[in-house]
Amino acid sequence: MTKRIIMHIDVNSAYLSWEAAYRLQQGSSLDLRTIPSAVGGNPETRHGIILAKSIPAKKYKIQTGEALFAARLKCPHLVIVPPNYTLYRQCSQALKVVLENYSPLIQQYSIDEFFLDYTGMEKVLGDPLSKAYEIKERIKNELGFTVNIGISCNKLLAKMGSELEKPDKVHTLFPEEIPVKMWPLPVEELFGVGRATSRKLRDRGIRTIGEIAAQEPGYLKRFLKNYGILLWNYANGREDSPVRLSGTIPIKGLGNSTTIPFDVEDQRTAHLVLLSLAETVGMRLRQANLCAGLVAVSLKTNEFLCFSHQRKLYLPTDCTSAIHQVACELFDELWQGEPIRHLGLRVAELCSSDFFQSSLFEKDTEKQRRLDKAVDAIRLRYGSHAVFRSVFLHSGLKALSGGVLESEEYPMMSSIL
Amino acid sequence: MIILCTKEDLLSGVNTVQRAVSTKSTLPILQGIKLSATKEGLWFEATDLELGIRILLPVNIQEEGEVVLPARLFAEVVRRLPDSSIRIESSGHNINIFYNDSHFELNGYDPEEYPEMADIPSGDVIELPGPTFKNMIKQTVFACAVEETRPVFTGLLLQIEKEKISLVSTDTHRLAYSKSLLNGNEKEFSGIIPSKTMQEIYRLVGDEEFLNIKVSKSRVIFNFNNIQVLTRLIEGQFPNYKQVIPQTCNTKLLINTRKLLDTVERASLLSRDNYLKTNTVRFNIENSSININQYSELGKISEQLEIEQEGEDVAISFNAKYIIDLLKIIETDKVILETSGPYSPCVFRPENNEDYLCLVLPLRN
Repeated sequence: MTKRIIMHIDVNSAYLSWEAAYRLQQGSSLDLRTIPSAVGGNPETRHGIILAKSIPAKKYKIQTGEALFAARLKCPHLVIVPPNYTLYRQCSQALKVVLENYSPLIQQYSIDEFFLDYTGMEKVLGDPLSKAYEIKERIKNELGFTVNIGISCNKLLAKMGSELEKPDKVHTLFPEEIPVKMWPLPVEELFGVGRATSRKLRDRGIRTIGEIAAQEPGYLKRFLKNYGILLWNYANGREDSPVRLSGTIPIKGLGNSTTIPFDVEDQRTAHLVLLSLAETVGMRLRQANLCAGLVAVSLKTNEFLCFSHQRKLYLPTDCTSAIHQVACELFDELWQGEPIRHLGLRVAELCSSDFFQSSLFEKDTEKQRRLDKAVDAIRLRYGSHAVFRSVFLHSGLKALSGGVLESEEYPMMSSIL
Repeated sequence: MIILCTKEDLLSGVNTVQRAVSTKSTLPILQGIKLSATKEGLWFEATDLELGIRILLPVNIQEEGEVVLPARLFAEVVRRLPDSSIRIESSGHNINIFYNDSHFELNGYDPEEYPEMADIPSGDVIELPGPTFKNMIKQTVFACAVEETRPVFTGLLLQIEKEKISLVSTDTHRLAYSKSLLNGNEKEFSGIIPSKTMQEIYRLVGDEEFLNIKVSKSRVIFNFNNIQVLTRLIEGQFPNYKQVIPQTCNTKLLINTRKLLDTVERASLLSRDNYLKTNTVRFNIENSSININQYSELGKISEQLEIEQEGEDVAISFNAKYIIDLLKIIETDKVILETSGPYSPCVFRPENNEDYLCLVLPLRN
C-alpha cells in the first residue's frame, strides 16, 4: 500500500480567534488576540465559564473551563466577550470550503479541527509541506485567523504534530521523527490519555510518551486492559483509521443537557425543563432516522452532586412526548427535593426507525408520529422557535434547550479518531 | 443421615433440581440443594423462592436426616464420582461421600435456615395429559417476553375451563395460542405461569400419561412421576388476547413450511448483524409466489417461492427472528398465512389444525 499523507488542521484558540477576526472585519481597531481576553458564557444564566482564551491571557494562568469570577481575580482587566455559536459555525464552514480545494477527502473532526487526506494529491498539487504552508497562509489572509497544521502518515501522528508548537505553525511528525518530537513529551500530551489514565501511568513511573512506547505491551494491558495496547500503539505512532467523510460514524446514543438560569425547586418546572430537552433530543433522533430503546435522566444539584437514572423502553420510540413521559417518571424516582442546577436527558440503544415494529395492546402512535413530523418540518423551515408548546408561555424557560440540532451542523468532538 | 446409593441416583437428583437453584439471590442458602433422607426415600430440593423443584429417589436410607449443600460444587463432585456404590454420611452441616476406598468431604449450610416451600396449594386436582401439555408448551413458550419490564408478558396464560385448556404467550410483537381438550374435567383455573417454570416442566415431563396440578391463589404445584414443581403465579392482568386475533383476512396463503424457513433463514443472514439490529425480511406476495429481494452492505439475495394464494397481493415486512421461531415449531408440511395488509397482524397456523396459531405483527416502514 502506498504511504498515506494525512494533514490535521487545528484552529488556534478557535472561538477567540474567530471572535477577534470578526471584530476586526467589523471595523474594530483592537485585536482581541493581542490583549488578555477570553470568550466566556453569561454568568447571569450561570453559564459563566471561560470557553477560550487569548495567548496573553494564558500568561495569567487563566484556564479553559474556569469560572469567570476566578479568572477576573487572576487578571482584573481581562476582556470577556460572549460566545457567538452562529459565527463559529460560519467560520468552521468557511475553513472547510478552503480545505476542499486541496483534497476531496476531508473529515471534520470537531468545530475547529479537520483531517485532510493528501494521499495521491502530491502528483497534482505538489509537495505536502509547501502546500501546508500555502493552506496556512491562505487561511490567515482570506479568513483572518491562524491554524496549526500537522503532517504525517496517519491521523494520530498528524494530530499530535499539529499540537506541537502554537500558533501559526506547520509541523511534520513522520515515524522517523517520533523519538525526537513526540517521545520526550509528557504522557498527558498523547491523544487518549486523560486525567484517569495519566494518574495510572504516573503512579507506575511512566512520565513521557517515550516511556509508554518502551513498555512491554502486556504490562500496560494488565492495568489499562485493551486500552493499554491501543495507547502503546499510539505512543509508537501506529494508527490506521481512515479519514472518514462526515456522518459515517454510527451514533450510539445522543443527549442534551442544560444548566438552568435559576435553581429549580418544584417538580412542574423540572418537568418543563425535561420537556424542552426532550424536544431537542427527539428532533435529533428523528433527523438521524433512529428510535431509542433507552432513556436516561441526569441531574446536578445546587451543591454540584450528580445523580442519574435510566430505563429501557418496552418499545423503541422517537416520539418527543413518549421520551418526555419516561424522563419525568425517571426524574420523580431520582429527585429527593434538592434545588436543581442542571438537567440532562440522553437516549441510547438506538435502532433504525425505517422499520417500526408494531405492537399489540399498545396505543397507536401513528398520530403522534405525524404530529412530530409536522412540527419538525415547521422548525426546520422557519427556525427552531417558530412553533413551541404553549406550556412554555410566560414560564421563563426556553421551549427547546440544549441546542445542537443536526440541521445546524455543529460538530462535536469524539474520542474515535 | 446415612444413605447408600449410586452415582446415577445422585446425578438424576441434581440434574432435576439444579435449574431451580437461585443464581442471583441475596440469600446465600438459596444457592444450595437440600437433601432430605426420609422413610419414603431421598428428596432433592431446590428453590429460588419463585420456582421450587423436588424429586424423590428410592435409595437405601440407613439413617434419616437433612443437609443443604452448595449446588454448583455438589453437582461438579457428583459428575466426577466413579460408577461405584456410594455411601453418604452427614456430620453436623457437612457430609462425607465415600466411594471405593476414598472419601470427599463437603461443607454445607445449616438446613434449619432453608426456606420451607410455603403455601403449598391444597385445592382441587386437575389432571392434564402429559404429551399434549408438553407439546402446548413447546408451541407457545418461545413467544414470551424476555425483558422483565412488564412481568405479565414473561409468563404464559394457562386457562382451564371445564373440558377446554389453552396456553397463550405474547411479548406484544407476536402471540402464540394453543388449545386442547381435557376430557371429563369439571374444574376451572386461570393464571400466568412464569416461562422459566414452563421450560422446566417441558424439560422434566417424560412420556408420562398424566401430570396433575393443584392450585392456590398465588401458586401452582405440578406433580408427575416422583417430581414436584411448585411455582409462583405472576400477578397482574393478562390482556384480552382474543380481541387482537383477526377473524377475517384479505389474503390467505398455503406455503411449504420447510422451504419458507430455509428462505427466511438465508435472507436474515444479510440483515441480522447490522449495527441497528433490524433483522428485517420483506415478503412480496404476488401471483402465487413469495419474492424476497434484500440487500445490505454485505450482499444481496433474491428468492422466489411458489405458494398457493387466495386473495390480494401484498408486500409485508417482518422481524425475521419471529418468523424463524414460529416456523421451527410448526410440524405440518404446509403452513397457512393469513393477512389483511402490511399493517395488520398476520396469522400463521399449521395446515388442518385449528388448535394452534401464531400471530406476528409486521414492521411498518
